[in-house]
Amino acid sequence: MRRGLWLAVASSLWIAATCFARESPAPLDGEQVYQNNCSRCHRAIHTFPPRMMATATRHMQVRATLTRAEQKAVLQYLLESATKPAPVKRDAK
Amino acid sequence: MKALALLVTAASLLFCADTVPSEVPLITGDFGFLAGLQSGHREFGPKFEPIVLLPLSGRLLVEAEYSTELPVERNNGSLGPAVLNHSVEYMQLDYAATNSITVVAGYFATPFGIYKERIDPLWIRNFIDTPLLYAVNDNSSAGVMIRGGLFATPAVKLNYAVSVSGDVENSQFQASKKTTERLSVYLPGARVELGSSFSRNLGAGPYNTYGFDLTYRPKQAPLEIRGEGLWSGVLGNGYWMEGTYRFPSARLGFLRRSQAVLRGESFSPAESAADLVDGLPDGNSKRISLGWNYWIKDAVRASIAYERLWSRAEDTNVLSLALVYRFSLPVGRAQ
Repeated sequence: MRRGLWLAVASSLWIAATCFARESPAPLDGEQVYQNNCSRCHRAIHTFPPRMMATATRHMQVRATLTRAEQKAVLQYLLESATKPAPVKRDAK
Repeated sequence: MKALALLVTAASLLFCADTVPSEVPLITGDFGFLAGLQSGHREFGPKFEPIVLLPLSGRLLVEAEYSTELPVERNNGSLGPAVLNHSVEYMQLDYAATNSITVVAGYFATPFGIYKERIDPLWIRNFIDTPLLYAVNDNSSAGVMIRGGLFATPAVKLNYAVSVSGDVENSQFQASKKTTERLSVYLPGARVELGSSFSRNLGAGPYNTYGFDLTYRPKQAPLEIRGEGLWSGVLGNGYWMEGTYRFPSARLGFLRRSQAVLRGESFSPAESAADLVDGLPDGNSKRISLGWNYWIKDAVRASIAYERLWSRAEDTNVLSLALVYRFSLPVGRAQ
């Protein structure tokens, strides 16, 4: 157990150091990020009201290991894609 | 272990700077009615998987999923029994520490392979039946996880997840003492992701499990290929490979809202596997599945699939049907 724990902690520190050293390139194209990541599982573009989309993209940032920059780019893209004031619309896959 | 979990959680709360939530709490998830038909045996019933998302700040998010189902069996004309299965899938606190690091504490899906974390929701999976080897990965961890993604170059992204779990055993939460890691390389330009997973179970009779996964989605065609493989001297070896094809340019509206799916898989359990993991095939098994998914509405999907299973016990044909509804409701002002 102790060996495994130390292995996990050491791995995490290494990853953290790498992350601090290099942030993702900016700016990101939200549509591109969506097509490359989200559309792997989701068939259609979601059109939720803005605050719902903000929460949903936070959830997906964790699940799909998106960077925060990617999450924000996707959120921006989704907000722009909602062409009309959206009622609470049910989701698509 | 507990001290580390407490430390990470405390640090998360301490350094949580931006406290203006622009998000609204959500209750989302899916509800489905599933049926499996084979000679002399039928199984059908509802399944309900609500997810609660509670943003506490710009960096903190609580998320939880509860899964409940009531499968009813009908064997050779007699009905029952019907047993309500229910459990917590995850109940976790996420702290987005930096652009590339999220610290997760609590009870979370074990980051091994791609099925459990990404494909498992009824609304997302291509086939209602999970792969044969999924019983190995269908578990959660109780402890701490660090995960995220970072760009090594603009064309190469690295995804990682490292977790440490302790033993938990009660009616709603089950986790074993283990460490798990997943690392993957994603090439956005080619839309290819290659991943590897490693888990070391630290309970009685420590053992390792190795996994690999692949996702490929060419830009030239509405095609997606994905699969997983795993190897464990104690649990067994297996793989599944799945392909989907959509028809976005079809003239028929029915086709434009449809998806054809095909899966091939194999699993060979080790002798001791049944003592350690429930739900694995009891002998060498191979299965091929062919299915069709149709979106009646954006939030309603109908699925049909035919499966042919070759196993040590018997060869069977299964027809599975499903109707799944996806919902998402704000708790508060959504605009």
